[in-house]
Amino acid sequence: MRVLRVMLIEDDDRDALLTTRAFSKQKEVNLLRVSTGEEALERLAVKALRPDLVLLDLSLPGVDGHHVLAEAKRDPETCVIPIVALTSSKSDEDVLRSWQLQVSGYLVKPIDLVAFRALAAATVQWWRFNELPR
Amino acid sequence: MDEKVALKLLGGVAQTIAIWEAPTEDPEGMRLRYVNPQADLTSGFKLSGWVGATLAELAAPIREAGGNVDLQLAGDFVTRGHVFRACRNQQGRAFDDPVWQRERAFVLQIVPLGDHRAATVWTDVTENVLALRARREDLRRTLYVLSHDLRKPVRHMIGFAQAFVEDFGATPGVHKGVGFLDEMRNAGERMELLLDGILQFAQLGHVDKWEVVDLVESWTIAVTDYVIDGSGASLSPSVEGTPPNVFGSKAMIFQLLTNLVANSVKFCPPPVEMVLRAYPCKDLPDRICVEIQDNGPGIPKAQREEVFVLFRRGRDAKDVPGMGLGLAVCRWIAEAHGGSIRIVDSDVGTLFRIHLPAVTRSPR
Repeated sequence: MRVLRVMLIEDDDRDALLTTRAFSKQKEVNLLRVSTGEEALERLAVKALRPDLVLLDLSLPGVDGHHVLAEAKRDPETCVIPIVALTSSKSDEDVLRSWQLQVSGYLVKPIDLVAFRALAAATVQWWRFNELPR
Repeated sequence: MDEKVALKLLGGVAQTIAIWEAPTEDPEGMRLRYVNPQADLTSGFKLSGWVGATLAELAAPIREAGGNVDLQLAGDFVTRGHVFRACRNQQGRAFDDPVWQRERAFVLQIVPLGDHRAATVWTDVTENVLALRARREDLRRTLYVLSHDLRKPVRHMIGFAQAFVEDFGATPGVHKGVGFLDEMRNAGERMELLLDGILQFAQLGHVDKWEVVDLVESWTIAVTDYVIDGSGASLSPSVEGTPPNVFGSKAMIFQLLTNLVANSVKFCPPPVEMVLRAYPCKDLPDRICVEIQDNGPGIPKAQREEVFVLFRRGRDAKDVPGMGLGLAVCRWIAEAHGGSIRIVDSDVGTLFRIHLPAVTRSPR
């Protein structure tokens, strides 16, 4: 099984901790957390640093999640990387905007850690089933 | 005070005032006796030119053109039946629902004056209506931000409590406290439901697309959804007569009907019977009166207003799931359409009466 490289874009340390914990039982997953949209875009620009999958928090200070999404999808090099929103927001506006910007999935962070683990497992499994660009 | 002085005073007030006289039992013979200068501005046509005319004379050109007298004369005759009764029987009336006339909102009062005369007094409440709208929009935005910003700390509290149980739950002395942490998680889940409710409420907003809404079609889909998902298995819905179409947001009116069905299914012991009827409002010609009645226990008079308040529930609702959102949403939707929803007296169950815009006139 090939290692799934996941980039978690999350500004909140506590959320990052809980998300990391939720994904911790997944084997062959390499989760890297970046705290800002700027840093994420910088890493995405470098081919060697590109992940297989991006988990994106939408409410980021400065360059926000939707901006990261739009930028990544605009660039023909990075537009093929699956970007899944992982957010607290259930608002219709955020959901619609994300899909308009070609998000690859929209996940709401579960309040319950057990449910969060189940979501992490399903996410990893789904993206493993998919053929991802190399 | 002599009549001259009185009329001069009427000319200076902010309200639009017309005085009517009905000397005989024939409503068409009712005569316009006086209008103050504001009447021409607010009624939309030159009412002052008709002083002295009978209702039949006033209505003649409209009838000839094939128009609806009530609608065309909405500025001042909207309730000509009521005006007539006020002249003849001295029955006064005040209407709460504003009527929009040339971009302004007015409420009407009919004041009996004696000697077979009555006055119609139109008060311009546009500023109040707009201020109320702005306040509601403020509230909506506040709720929206709250529902979003409170979610994160709740998730953190619950998540870390669970992480604690995972890491230390088996430690001697600690395991006894695990039950407390479970309670914390349950509380967190309840809070999340409340936040979902607030968000749902905050996303209601305004009617952005006005369209003709087939009440019967919306009603049929709403009740069918309940029968299909099982929660309304014993529901027998019916439609009385031929309800007219209404004008508004299809999605919002569907939501309103769905919430009313959900409410009855929750509170009525089976078999649940629900009936929809609708007819043009007698008092306000640009409104449809929609009635939805069930066969449940009904709601005591004292609680009929509070059940529409967000997160407030009827006193008998303790054992019934829910959080007091459905009827608050119904009220928001009715008011977003410039209408209203009330619970009125009925011989059986609960009777909701909703005023929604008729298709005949573009509402505000």
